[in-house]
Amino acid sequence: MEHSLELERISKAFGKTGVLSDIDLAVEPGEFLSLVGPSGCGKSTLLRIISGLERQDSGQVRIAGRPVDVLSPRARNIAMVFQNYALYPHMSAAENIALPLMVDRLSLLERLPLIRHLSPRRKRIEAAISGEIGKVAEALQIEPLLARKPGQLSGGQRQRVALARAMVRQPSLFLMDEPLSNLDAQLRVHMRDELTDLHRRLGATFIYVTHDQIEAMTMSTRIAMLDGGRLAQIGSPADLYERPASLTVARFIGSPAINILPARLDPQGHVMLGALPTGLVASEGLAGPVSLGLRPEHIRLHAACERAMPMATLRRSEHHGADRLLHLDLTENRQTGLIVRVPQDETGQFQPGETYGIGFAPEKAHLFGPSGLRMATRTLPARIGAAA
Amino acid sequence: MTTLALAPAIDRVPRRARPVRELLAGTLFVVPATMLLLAIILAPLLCLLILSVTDYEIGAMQIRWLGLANFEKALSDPVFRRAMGNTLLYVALVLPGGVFIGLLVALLVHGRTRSRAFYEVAYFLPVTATLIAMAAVWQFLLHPKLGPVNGLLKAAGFPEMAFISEPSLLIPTLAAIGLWNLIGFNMILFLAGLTAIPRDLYDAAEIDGAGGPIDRFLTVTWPQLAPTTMFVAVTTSITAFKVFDTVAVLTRGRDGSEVLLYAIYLEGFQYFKIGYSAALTVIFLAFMLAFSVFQAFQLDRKVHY
Repeated sequence: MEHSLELERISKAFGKTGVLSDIDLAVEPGEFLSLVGPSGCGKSTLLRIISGLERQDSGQVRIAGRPVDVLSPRARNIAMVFQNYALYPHMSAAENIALPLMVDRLSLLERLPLIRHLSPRRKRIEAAISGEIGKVAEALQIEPLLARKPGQLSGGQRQRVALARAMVRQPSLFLMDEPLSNLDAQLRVHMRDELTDLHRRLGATFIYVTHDQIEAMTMSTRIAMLDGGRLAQIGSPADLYERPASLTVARFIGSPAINILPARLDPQGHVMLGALPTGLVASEGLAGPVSLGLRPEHIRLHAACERAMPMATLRRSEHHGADRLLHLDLTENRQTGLIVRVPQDETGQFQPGETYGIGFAPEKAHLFGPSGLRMATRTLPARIGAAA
Repeated sequence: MTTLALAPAIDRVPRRARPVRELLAGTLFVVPATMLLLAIILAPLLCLLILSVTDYEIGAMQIRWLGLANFEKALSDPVFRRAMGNTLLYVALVLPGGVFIGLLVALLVHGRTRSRAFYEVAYFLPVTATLIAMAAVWQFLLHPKLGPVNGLLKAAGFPEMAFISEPSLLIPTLAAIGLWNLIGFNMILFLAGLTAIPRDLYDAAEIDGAGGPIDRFLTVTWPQLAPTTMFVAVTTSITAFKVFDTVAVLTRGRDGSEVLLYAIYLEGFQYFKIGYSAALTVIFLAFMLAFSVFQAFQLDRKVHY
């Protein structure tokens, strides 16, 4: 089967500012692909290029195997949901949803004010359209809202109307530009659920832009992370979390953020934290400074340390329901804070102000070179200084 | 029980004292604004109303109460009726022209990127120019023999037109000059309205297939500009209704080209019939009031959000 969407070497600059460079991407039919990245990384621009609202400087966009670069957004058979919903405020919800179909099926003359009533087939077409609106409205449970204007709807309701307007043309590709970011936290979690559900029911391809890594992690089948206009990594949420390709990805994905400790490669390739070996060996690379990434749940605190371990002082402990987040300061390097996630029932033993030894399993650690890229590692059989 | 009995008693003292003091404070706060309103608007208006039912003339030793005689006279006065008809014709020409040409110019200027500032200034210049001074220029431009407008007409093979002397052309000519003066202002108002339209809506229209110029205008621009249009229409009507300077300078009301304000001016300041002129002013104000009330209600209704 053909790819639902293919991007080939897409580049774009606004004036002299490069926004996107050489983006290659292939999306399978039925995928939920999130485009994530910090603000200004070019993810919205990429979405606008896919939609046809913006033209790329070079490269090709193919939708369902067909190059669409010269096609208007309408001819690309896509639908888009906007951050501010972009509903037409003077039209009722039903009219908003109907608009794409009206434009598709009625000529310009049949849509003009006054003259439109002269068309004999208009009535029949409108009846068919209103039947289709009814179906979409039923699927999204917005039937009671159809007569209202957007101004009389809540954020979540507007969101559903915008979704309905996108669905009504049965496009092969749904583009969503941060559709949940204007909702309050509780509603956002709820709509996340609904969107995932909708994606499953429709079986359509979703391209979803967000700056919220939690949205991307919870909803997507795959995530493409952009950084500075380049594709930093693409993979399943688990891939990005467990094997981040670069420091940027590691820092962006995961909440609380990954701990990055300054470390050093000795000439044999051993990763050293200060003077202490970590049990991690870089497969290649030169001696010099590197960064060691540790997820908060992969760090163990030891009250009594038998061996030489990096030490840290507990500054603050935060309640997060099932877990507790412990904020520590490294004794050796006070600028480097450390966050450790501990299950609630194990927290009793940790007291603010006390100093603990830091332990971790070397195979759970991520090593990044001076360029910020991930380095291949192996672990030593004998774990020195890092009791798991 | 004691608490139950006591509670209202405790409550009663401040509850009674408070409204009186609040009323007093509230009244005091309102006084300055009320005085100002009285002094500069309501009192002169009252004077006007009183004058309009008298036969007062400047320098007259006594005043006689006339009742509604001034108004009756106005309705049968051929000069006033002509002035009324002329003014309505003037408004009927300037209102649609001012709104639609203003909108058209705004749409065109809005579409420019680098030259936008130039066009904004160019179209706004007539607004800043004094119409009285510019009337001299118009007089030259429209001159039957010397004026370049007639020169052009002749070159194009049309007969020459006496714009400022042929009676039937007077009001249309004045309306054209009024439009020239007004369009820049309306354009600025429309530009402000256009700038406020969210870009998202145009994007959505394009995705929905309504990306062509006519569809864009009908689905997004025009409905979004509805409140601006209403405002422009009302301000344009009021401005048009107050036409005076071009008449005073170019025609002096000759050949039946009087307009409302010019008639009032003649009665009050040339013939010194203050009472009659006050009655005409009351009629004029009634029209203004009608426009303003219409605007207030329409603007309230047209709000989408």
